Amino acid sequence: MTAAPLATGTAPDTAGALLSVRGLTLDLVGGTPQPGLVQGVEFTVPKGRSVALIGESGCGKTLTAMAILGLLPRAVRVVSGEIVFAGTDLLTCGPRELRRIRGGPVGAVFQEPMSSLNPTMTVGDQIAEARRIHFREGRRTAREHARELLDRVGIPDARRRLDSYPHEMSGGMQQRVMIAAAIAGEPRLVVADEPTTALDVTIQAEILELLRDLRRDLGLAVLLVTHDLGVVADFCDEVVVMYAGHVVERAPVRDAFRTPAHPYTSALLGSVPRSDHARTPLQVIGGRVPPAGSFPGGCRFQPRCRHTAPACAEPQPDTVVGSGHHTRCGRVAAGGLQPGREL
Amino acid sequence: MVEQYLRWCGDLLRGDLGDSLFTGRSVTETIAQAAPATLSITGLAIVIAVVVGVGAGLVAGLRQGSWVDRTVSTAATLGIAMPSFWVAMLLISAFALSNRWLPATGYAPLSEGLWPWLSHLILPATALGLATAAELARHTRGCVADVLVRPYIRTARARGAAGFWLVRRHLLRNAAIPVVTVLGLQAGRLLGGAIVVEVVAGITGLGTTAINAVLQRDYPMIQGYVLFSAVIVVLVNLAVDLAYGWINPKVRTA
Repeated sequence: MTAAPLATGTAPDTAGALLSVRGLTLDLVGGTPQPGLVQGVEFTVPKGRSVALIGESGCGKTLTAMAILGLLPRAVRVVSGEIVFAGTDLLTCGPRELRRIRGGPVGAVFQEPMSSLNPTMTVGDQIAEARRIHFREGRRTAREHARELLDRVGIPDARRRLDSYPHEMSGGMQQRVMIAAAIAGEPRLVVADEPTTALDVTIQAEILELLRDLRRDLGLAVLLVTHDLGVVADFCDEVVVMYAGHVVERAPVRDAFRTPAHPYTSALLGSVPRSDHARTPLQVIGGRVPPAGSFPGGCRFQPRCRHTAPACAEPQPDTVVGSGHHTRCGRVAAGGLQPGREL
Repeated sequence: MVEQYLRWCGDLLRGDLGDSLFTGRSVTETIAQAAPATLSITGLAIVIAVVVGVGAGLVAGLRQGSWVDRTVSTAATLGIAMPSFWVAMLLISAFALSNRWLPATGYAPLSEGLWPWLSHLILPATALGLATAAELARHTRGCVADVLVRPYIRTARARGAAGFWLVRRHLLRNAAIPVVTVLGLQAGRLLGGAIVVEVVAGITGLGTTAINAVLQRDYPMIQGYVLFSAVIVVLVNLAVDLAYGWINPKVRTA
């Protein structure tokens, strides 16, 4: 936890990791093929910890999450890398094993609960489904468990609510149902893809509170995909910053917020409105994430970076700058730039 | 005119549709005699259309891009393009004339036994139902393809649902909603289409009765036929609406 740069070469990273993603590269095939949609993504989720995957839209966060769940769209192909969950490589394990893991040891919560819940199935049946598939429970037992789960996620009058349909519930309730369904299979890891994005701010806080309680009580590890830095600061232990298909920085949340070691992270932090900086212009990052297929060589952030140098056109190596703190900025690694919020 | 119409309406309330100008028999009686044949053909045509059309469309939708999908799509286009009277003639010549497996013409009421009834109906009903089957196959395929990319299917997969479980619990009901609508529209068309097929298959049903009535300007008969068809179409739509409520929970509360 100390900020002292002790780590030297050895990778204690993967020991005790529940999930470890190594060198994940995804290509878009068909139509106009685009290689390197996601390239060389590496990170780990330790047991019981919460890791955030952040970045602007179109950075490959959701694709990475879908790759973990084995739910990539047909047009996206895994080129290389491995995704090891509790000793099993999810990319090579075959569909049968993948089905055993999905909904069982790995649960998933998606954004927009309205469209992510089946409109023609009662919420009770949807929550009970994982119990029936993974524990081969009968209708009645699974229903009883579903009722307990609804209770657990804080839905009042659970027994009656079992027979409701999603459209009869509010957005916040629907997301609670999604969470109940995700934890029904007694997972060790929950992949949450922007679980609060489609919700009102007050409801967002409630949902995060619920996730935090569940994490504590069930010892869940959470991979949280989000672009909301407030959520990250509030909820996560570690953060993985993605830009245009690259992981540009990963670090414990405190370090990433205090001493960001990549200009992109620093720029992201700078673009959050802060109450102590009221009445000052909000900083924004100029330009936008390039569309897949037109990524620049070397550092993919360089066209938008304030510190671009000729060396940025070279491939940027992954460098350790602190305990568990990695950056993909060559200039920071070489000491030309100092990590920090002024980066 | 108005007085005539009101008198007709008044008689209608007493179940009297008047008498045919030609045969002199009551219209109600004539329709009651002719209806079973027509309703049998139409009903069987609907069954054939649903079984064949929805089945083929489902397989095609689940195996998009496969040879099954391409075969179904081609067959469906052909099925829609072929007129039913022509199909009826082809079927009769193949199965009733070249190989005397099935009777070429005529109708036997159900009271004479299931097989005599069915054997007279199979060919005309197939001819009639084919276009609807093709239409349903295309719609079902489209709906299945549409539902497969919905987020809730992804959620279900993330829960470990797959294969038959996924199709039965998550796909069928959602894909059925638009298909049922199309089926309701098609039912009216089938009833009208039955006229043509009846003539080709030499069955004395509502269709032949209606055509004769038109040719003879037998107004009471025509009025009776139109009213009867309208009632059937309304009943079919009611059935569709009820089915809709059963399939789609969003409609139930409204």
